[in-house]
Amino acid sequence: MVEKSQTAEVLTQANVSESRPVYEVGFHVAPTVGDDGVASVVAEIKSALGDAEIISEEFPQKMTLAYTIVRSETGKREKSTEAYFGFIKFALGREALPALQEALRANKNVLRYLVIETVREDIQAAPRRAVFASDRLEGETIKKPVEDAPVEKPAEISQEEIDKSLDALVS
Amino acid sequence: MPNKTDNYVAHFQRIDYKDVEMLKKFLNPHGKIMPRRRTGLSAANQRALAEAVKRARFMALLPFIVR
Repeated sequence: MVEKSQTAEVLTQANVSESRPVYEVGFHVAPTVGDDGVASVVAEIKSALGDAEIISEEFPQKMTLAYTIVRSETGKREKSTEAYFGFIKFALGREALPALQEALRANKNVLRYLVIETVREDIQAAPRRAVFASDRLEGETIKKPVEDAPVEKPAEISQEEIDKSLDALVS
Repeated sequence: MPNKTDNYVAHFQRIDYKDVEMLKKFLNPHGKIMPRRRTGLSAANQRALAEAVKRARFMALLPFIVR
């Protein structure tokens, strides 16, 4: 009986984690942190997630930003042209989200962040077909393969005919 | 019935703001989002594309404007 109730409890917990909405936090770690400090910043973000179920994550990679991000910390303007970009996908209750946002905002090593609601499945998992965005044909037009023309077998020539033609040539 | 370009994204849930190379195919040289008549996307996919591009711009993955 006890075992049964425990199983039921485990099932309920599984259902709760399944039913929780899935979010994804993308973030830029400030370049001032350096290569060695990125892991500690990620650990801080994960601790802010609390009891969230982490579905997938990508460790921050250094990248050049599309534009310079300027932020004024302690009365000084900080300009960043590169940062470490990473993301974590997780399932968490809606009520815990404001606390996470506040923790990210308070973290001075997080240059910028974005929390979005998403789906559990990996978005980029499915292979995509390459189709041009334009209606016009771009590149080379794919041509229908030309069917091989039937090879004509040379008609068999008898020995007599060969001799005749040779005689004609000699004489 | 989805048109040709719509197959490229197949479903709006596949449009991700982190997939910058895919998003760039739907931007003009100035970094502006192409209109629907040019992208050939369904209305739902075009809305998802616009949202993904705006998210990518905020995260400095794409520029707001290219001069």
